[in-house]
Amino acid sequence: MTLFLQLFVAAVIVSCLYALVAVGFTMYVGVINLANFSHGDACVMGAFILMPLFILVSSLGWLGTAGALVIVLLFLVVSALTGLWGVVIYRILVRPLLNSPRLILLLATVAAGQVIREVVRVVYPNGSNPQVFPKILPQGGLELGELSIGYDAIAIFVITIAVILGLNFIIRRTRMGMAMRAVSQNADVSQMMGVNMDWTVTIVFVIGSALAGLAGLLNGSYYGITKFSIGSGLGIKGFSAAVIGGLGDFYGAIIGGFLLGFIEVFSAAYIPDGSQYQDVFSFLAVILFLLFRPSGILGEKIYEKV
Amino acid sequence: MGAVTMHDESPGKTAYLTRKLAALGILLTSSGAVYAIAVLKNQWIVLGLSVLTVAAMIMIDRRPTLKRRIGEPLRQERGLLLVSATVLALAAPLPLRGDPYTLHVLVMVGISMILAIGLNFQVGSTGIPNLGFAAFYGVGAYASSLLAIRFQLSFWLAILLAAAIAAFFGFLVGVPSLKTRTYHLALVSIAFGLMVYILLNNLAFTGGPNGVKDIPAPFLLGQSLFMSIRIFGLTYPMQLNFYYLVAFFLALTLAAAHCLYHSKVGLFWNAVREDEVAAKCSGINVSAVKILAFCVGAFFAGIAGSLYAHYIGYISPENFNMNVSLLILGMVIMGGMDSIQGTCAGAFLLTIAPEKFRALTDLRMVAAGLIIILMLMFRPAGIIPQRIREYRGLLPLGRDTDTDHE
Repeated sequence: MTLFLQLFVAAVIVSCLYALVAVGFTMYVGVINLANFSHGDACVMGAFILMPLFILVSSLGWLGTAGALVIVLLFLVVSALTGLWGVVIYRILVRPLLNSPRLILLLATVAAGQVIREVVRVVYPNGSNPQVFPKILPQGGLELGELSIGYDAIAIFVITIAVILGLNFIIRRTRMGMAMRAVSQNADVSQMMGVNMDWTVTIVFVIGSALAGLAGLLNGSYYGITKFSIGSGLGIKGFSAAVIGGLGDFYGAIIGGFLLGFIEVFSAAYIPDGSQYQDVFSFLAVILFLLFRPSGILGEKIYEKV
Repeated sequence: MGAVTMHDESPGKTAYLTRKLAALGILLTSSGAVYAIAVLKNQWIVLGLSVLTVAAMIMIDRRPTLKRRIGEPLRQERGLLLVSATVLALAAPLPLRGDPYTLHVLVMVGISMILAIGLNFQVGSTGIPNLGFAAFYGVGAYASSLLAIRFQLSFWLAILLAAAIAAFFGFLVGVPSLKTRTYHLALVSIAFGLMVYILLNNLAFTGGPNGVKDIPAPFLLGQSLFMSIRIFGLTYPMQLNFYYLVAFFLALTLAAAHCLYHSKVGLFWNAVREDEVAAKCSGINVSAVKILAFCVGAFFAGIAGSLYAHYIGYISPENFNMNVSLLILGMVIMGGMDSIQGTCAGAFLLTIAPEKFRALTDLRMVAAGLIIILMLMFRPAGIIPQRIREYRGLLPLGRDTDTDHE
């Protein structure tokens, strides 16, 4: 039973990480119908921007008394920087290609992700090897009988919930969110109604990339290790979660993230040799979903328009 | 028809000869450039030549009159060109007796071309975004080498079986892809690519991360292709054997690609790429056509994989990871989606580049990614774009319609 509960906690954390990536992914798909395959590599950027910043900050001795505050600031700075990266990707790569076939746009984002990944590997000192990630989340943990829950796990859970609630607020309650929903329903008509589409989509990219950066940070600090190549895995998991939930659906992405996280953790634990094949199980789940319910859990059935 | 033929024959014998000479001249110039790029060692000369060649191709493509003037003799002298190109390709490696390294690079170019043509059926012709193509390549390589090692099958049987097994995997990926559109398809292909990579790394019978060693040599007429060969009293390195072996399979692949492109299937693929719903409304069995694209592409990937395994003699999962998929994709996009010549050009350039620019080895994936992005943004049709289909036989005006396309 303790094992089960321990696995449950682990699964929740993994699910939170996947849900964060999936939510970012689904924003692009939802608003401008773009599957941004460089999303996972933006996560790597977040992690690799933090590491030198952290070294800088700790060498300046700022982590002493107000350490927690500095770390919160670091989170914000990294998210802001990856958010800026979103603007770059949108302005340089996506906007010029918005009117070309989707295949072209998709391949371009795949290539962009590859460029980020490889630049990180080449530029970062010793970048080809796994990097020890600084412990930026609170250490130690709660002991509930035999079950132990780390403070870092709690922090990740709280941050994820806060981010999701905040995003939900932005999308549902603010003018910008209304603009996003309008563009997502019909880009042309929304522009006629006075929505500044270019600006709205830029904001979507900022939010999406910032979320990716945050997910990369949390991923790195949870596992204590990171590598230039984790991005493709994270991005594909996020995409899979978004597809399982119903591509483009905000809540679906969260549900999909949790489903994927649970499949992965429990298959690794309960199936013999499962830990080697955990990714295979989650990909099989995605393929089964695509076979039997291509529109995902929450997605509406897609009818082809002629 | 009569008037047209009269017009065709009215210029005398000199014009006929000029055309033949022009066609040969164009072939010799272009193959000379390619040969120089492949053989020369000085990286700056190679870089200059490559840039010049690519620039020349793009310039020619931009000028309709020039393009027609160059294209016309090439189109009319197809038989002559085919024969002379074959002779050139057969003779090309002979001066490289003391340079097994360049021969090796040429063998790798040939394998890349087979791969790129295979992916081109899917990405270029049918518009299927396959981001896990290296998986089929890997399946072919592993299937062939394991069959040869465990069951002592001869190479010739193993390569056919490997291609068939790879095609079957293509079918397996094709089925879940039927219900899905662009993005989901890309996801299925990535997921498949990663699954194959993970399985190759973890299964016992594939040797795990250590891969498969000591893959036996192909035998031809009782002679192992790993042995050096004597031609006209000169001893050639064993790479020459594989040059001809790969050239043989490349020729088969090119012929198949050419026939498929000009068949109904090629037309169906293009129709599905342009508009799936419209294709369905025109009576095309979209599912069958897509699955066929998966199978055919995977078949050639299997052939390439088998050739690679038996040539290098050692394979490991790292030879078939995501980067390889993206590199092959880069070849297709750079050369020109759906264009067979273009795909080959892309495969040639992207295979040669890292060999010539050793300093760039670390940056090769960055360069490939940047090339993909730049090509997609500024020249999505590639270096040698596919021409618009012409249906002379169907149109009553015959070859007068040529001018309409410019």
